[in-house]
Amino acid sequence: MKNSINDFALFGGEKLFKKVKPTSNLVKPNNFLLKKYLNLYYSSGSDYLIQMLECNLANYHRSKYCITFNSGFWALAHCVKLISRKSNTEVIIPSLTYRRLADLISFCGKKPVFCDVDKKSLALSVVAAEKLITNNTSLIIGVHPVGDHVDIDGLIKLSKKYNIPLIFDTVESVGETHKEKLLGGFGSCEVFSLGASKLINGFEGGYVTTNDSLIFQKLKHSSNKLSVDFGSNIPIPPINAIGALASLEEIEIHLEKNIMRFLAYKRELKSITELRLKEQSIHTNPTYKNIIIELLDDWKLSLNQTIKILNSENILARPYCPPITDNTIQYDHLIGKLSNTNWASKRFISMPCGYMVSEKDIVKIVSLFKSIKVHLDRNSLI
Amino acid sequence: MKTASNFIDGSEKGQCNLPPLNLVKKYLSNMLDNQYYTESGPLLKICEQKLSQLLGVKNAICVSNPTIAWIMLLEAEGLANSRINVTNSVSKDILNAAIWLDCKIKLICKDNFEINSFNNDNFIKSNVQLILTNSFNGALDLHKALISKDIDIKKCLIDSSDSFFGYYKNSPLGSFGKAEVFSFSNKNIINGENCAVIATNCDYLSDYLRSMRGSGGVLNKVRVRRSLNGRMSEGQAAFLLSSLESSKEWLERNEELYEIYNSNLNNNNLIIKSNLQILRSNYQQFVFSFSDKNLENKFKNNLLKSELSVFHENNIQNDNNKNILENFFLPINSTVTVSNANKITNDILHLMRSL
Repeated sequence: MKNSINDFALFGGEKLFKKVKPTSNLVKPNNFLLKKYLNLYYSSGSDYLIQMLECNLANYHRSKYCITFNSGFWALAHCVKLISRKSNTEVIIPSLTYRRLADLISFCGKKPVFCDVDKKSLALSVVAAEKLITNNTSLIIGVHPVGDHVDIDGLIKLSKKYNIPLIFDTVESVGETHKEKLLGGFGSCEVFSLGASKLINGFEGGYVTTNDSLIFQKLKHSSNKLSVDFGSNIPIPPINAIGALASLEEIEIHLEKNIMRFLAYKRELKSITELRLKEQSIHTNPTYKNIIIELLDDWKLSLNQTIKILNSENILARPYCPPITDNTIQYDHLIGKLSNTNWASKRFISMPCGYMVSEKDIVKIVSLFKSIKVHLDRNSLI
Repeated sequence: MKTASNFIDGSEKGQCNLPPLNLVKKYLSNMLDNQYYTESGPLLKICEQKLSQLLGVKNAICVSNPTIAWIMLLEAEGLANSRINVTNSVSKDILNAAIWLDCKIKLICKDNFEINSFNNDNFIKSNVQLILTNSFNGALDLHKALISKDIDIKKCLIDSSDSFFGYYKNSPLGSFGKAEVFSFSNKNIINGENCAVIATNCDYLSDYLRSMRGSGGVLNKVRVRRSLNGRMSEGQAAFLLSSLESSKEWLERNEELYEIYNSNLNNNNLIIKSNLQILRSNYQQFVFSFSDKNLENKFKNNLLKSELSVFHENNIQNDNNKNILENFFLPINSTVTVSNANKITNDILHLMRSL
C-alpha cells in the first residue's frame, strides 16, 4: 500500500516492481521440446518440419488447410492481395485496432477505410460497415479484438448481401469458438500470428487457415515462389517453426495459467467499483490471453494519467489500441463516423498478463489501483 | 559413393550450410535465459554489431527476410510506384519487392559482366540511380563500370547477397553504394534462416529502416510513412551467430573446390566467369560460359543425356536476347567432396571432347 503520495514512483518512491511487467503473453518455450524439434530439423530437413507445423495447426483449428508465413503481417498481406476485389480499392477495417493494419492495406495497393466499432465488443460494427460500402469496396477485414469477437454471423451476412470478400484477422483469438465451432474456418480465410506476444510463440511467424482448396493452392504457391500476381518468397524460417511446434504442444498448460490470471484480476478488482474488467462471453471459450480494464465515469484520473502512474511503477500498461485515425497517416485513406471509437479510446487499458505475470503480481498491481483510489478520494493525487 | 546426379539439386540450391547443432543449441539457451524472442533482442544486437565490423560499415540493420529487406529499402528511398534501373542478374527478392511496391523495372544492361556496355540514355533519372547486383562470388568492378558513366556509386543500391566476405579494392563489400543488402539463406555461405542485413553508412536511412521494421513507428526515432513487420527473431539471430562462427571452415572448403574446378577446366575453350582479380571471394559459386552459342547448345543437348550436375540459367528471359551466352554453375556446397569435384570436371571434359 502506498500510504503517502511520496511512496508513488512517479513522485520519487520505490517502484512496485524491479522488473517490468509486460502486456504480452511471452510464453517461455520448453527447452526440451525446442531441442526435440531442432534435432528433427537437422535429421529431416526444413520442408518436413514446416509441413508438420502446417498439419498440426490445421488439425488444431479443425480447418482443411493451413499455410505458414514469415509473420502475421505478411500472412494477412498475401490474403488481402489474393482475395480482395482486384478492380476496387477500398478495404473496410476497424478504427480501433493495431496501427500497422492500415499500413498493410496501403502496401497491398489498397485504401484503408476506417470504420467505427461496436461499443460492447470494441470490434468492427456491422451497422457502421454497411454504411461505408460503396461500388469501390474491395474487401472487409473482420478483426477479432482483444477480449471479444467481431460479429461473425453479421459480417458473413453483409459479405453475401453485397458480394464482397471477407477475411477474419483472428490473431488475438486462437483457440476460441463461435457457436461451438473453433475459429479458423470462417470467411474466405482466417489469419493468425506466431509472434512472441501471442498464444503460440514461434518467436515470429504467421499462418492462414482456410477450407477453400483454391485459396490454399494459390497461397501455398505464393508463399514460396515468385508469383506473377504479387511478389512473395516470404516463408516462415524453420527455426521459428520449431518454436511454434514446441509452443503448440504446451498450449493447454498456458491456457490454464491465463484463466488463473484472469480470475485473479476479477477477484481483486471486485472492490474497486470505478474500474471494470472486460469480460468475454463464456460461450466463446475465451483464452484470456490479454487483460483489459475499463475506466468507468467515476474514476477520477484520465487514461493517460493512470497509465503514467502505472508505467512509473514498472507496470507496462498501455492504452488499448491508440486511435489510428490521426493526422499521421500519409497515404490515401477514408474515415467513417467514429463516435464509439473516440469514446473507447479514452477508457480502456491493456494490463500486464502472460508468462511473466504471477498471481502475486496481480494482487500487487490491483493494490496499486486501490492506493490510487484512496488518494483520489482524499484529493491528494489530482 | 555419391554420383554426380545426387547433387544436381545442390548446385541449384546453393551452399546448404548448417551450423553445428551444439552451437545453435547454445545460442538458443541464451535466448531462453534472456526471455527475449524478437524485436531488437540481445542476440540480434550482437549480430548487428558483428556484421557492422565484418562489413566495415556504420550501420547494419538485420531484417527477417531478403524480400522484406528490399521492400524496406525501396520504400525508405521513396521508390514505391517508381521506375527503377536494374542489371540482368537482378534477384528474385528485388523483383518481388518491386511487385509489392508497384515499381517498374528498367533493365539497363544484359549481363553484369558487360556493365560497361550500357547506354546512359536508357537511364531513368531518379534519386537512386541504379540497383546493382554483385554476383558470382564477388564484386563488379564498380569504379570501372560506373565512374566512366558519370554515375555516383553513393546513389546506387547494391545487392551483394552472393558476395558476403567479398572485397573490392581492399575494402570488404558492405560500405559501397547508399546501401548494400546481403541475404543469409540456405543458398548463401552464411545461413541465417533466410534473414538479411542492410548495410549503410547513412544514419538517417538506418534510423528510418529501424523505425519501419519494428513497432509501428510509434516509439521510434523517425516517423515513417508506412511500417511493416521486418523483425528478425532471436532464433534467426542464434542461427546467424552460429553460422558466422563456423564460416572459416566453409570458406576453406569452397576455396578448395573452386580451385579444383578452376585448375581442371582452365584453357579448355571455356570462359570462367570471375571478378577474382579485384577482390577476395567467398568462392560460393563456380560459373563458366562458352565462347560461342553453337558449342553451348551442343553442350546443353548432351547435358540432358549425361548425369552431370551442372545448372544453367538465364536470369531474365528475353526473346530479343536469344544469342546471349548462358552461365553454367558447378556445385560448391556442403554435399560436395574433393573427389566429387574431380569427377564432375572429368565428366565435363569428356563431354566436351565428344562434341
